[in-house]
Amino acid sequence: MGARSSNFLNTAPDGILAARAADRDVAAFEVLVHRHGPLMRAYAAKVLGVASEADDVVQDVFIQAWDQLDRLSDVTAVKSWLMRMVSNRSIERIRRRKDLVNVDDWDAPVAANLTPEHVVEVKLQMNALATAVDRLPEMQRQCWALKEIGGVPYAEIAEQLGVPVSTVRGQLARARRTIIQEMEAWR
Amino acid sequence: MTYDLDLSRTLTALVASTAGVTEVYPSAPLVRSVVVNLVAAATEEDTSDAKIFIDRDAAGALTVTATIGVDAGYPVPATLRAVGDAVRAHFLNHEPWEKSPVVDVRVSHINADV
Amino acid sequence: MTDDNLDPTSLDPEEMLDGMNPEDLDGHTIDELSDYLDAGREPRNESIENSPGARIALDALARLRNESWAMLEVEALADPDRDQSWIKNVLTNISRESRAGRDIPISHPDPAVRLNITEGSVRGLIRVAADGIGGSIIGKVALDGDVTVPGEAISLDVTASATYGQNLKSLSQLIREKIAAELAIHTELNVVAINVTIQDVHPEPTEETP
Repeated sequence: MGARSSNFLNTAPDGILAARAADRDVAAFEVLVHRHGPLMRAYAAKVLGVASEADDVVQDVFIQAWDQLDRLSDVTAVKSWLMRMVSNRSIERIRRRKDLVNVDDWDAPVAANLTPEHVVEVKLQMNALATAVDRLPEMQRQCWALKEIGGVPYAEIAEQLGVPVSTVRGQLARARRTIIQEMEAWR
Repeated sequence: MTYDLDLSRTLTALVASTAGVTEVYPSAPLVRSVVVNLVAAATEEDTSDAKIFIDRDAAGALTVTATIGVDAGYPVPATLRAVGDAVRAHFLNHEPWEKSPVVDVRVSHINADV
Repeated sequence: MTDDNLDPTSLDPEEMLDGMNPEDLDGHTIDELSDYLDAGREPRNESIENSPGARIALDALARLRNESWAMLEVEALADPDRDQSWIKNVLTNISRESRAGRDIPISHPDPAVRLNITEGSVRGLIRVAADGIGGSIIGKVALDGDVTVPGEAISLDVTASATYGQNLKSLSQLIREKIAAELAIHTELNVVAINVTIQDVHPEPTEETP
């Protein structure tokens, strides 16, 4: 279906691709996967701190999206819809992790072996902001990513993580302060 | 069951050879096809070439259901009528004891390769 | 904040925000300003908007957020899907069954012969035919009206994106005519309207695979 040259859909706008994918056009869906997948993975990795888990989340999101695209009322908003699903699934994963039970434990700096491996690429070490974020303590990084990138409301982050809203705000304020200071030091 | 399996095979081949038909898809509702396959498995029959669904009501009256893919190079209604007529003709000519079989043909895919 | 060197756009957002106290921000906190930014600066808060310090901090927060997104985009680019297995997993796990939709009847003189075309196959036909015109990519195809009733008035809603530089009016007309022709050949639908909305433009496809 849509069997013109194989790159016929490469530059199609998101809304067009989503409308076709909603009607089972696999080629259109594939373009969406290539187009938004990397950003979704980068975001999920920021929230989860582990690249392989990020892969799982993004995979699940796309499989779910394929079935639910026909229920998306505004197809032009497919990118933010996908990102929202990444937020939801990432938060689910955080909840399921057995090691995170205590806010105080969360606050400890991330041990070196938990640094997402994709950040270690030389090119990215030059990116002060990425480095600053990845060095944040686990919960601060999660709150920062969910709020600043995912746009998830404070109340929802708090409810999903099972902590008060004030805790989330506090984590975010500290994350922001740390990022600002580390980036200044870099310059 | 064996009789209907043969009938299904015959009709599948007939429909597949009709001009304009590119593919014959399995027509059975999922539950029924599982049962057919189980029975076929018990008797070690290969049912992959029996895609036309044969259904008999309590009085033995027959409904024949075919789901097909067609070539956009022919008008779809023409292909549909050709299939319907071919199946009906089959019963008239070869199985006249079947009383007024209902022939149900559905196009689920139109191939328009550019 | 002193007035000398007060060109907010020349300073890094971090320098702006570090060390800002509520007295610099006329009593507002960074947290409060961040919420205000999230709300799109609505409803308008006069106290914040009238405070130069607060306004500067707002701009800095906005720029920091843009930097955060840019940082993520850079990471996304630097992470080519060299390991395509996750993409393959997605594609093998999605169901290829088409959405059949309603049955569109085709007439036959013998009532014992029932002929139908699925709505899904007609949508696919339309999309391929209209894509084939060139210069546009079809998006949504929707059939409005009860297609299961022979003779019922049916209208079509179609969206598309056009390549740059097209005359959109003639393109819409071409699409409309092509769709009408296909439906006349392959269905018996009573099509009373074909609404083509060109909702977007796009550049010519690039050479590389996605």
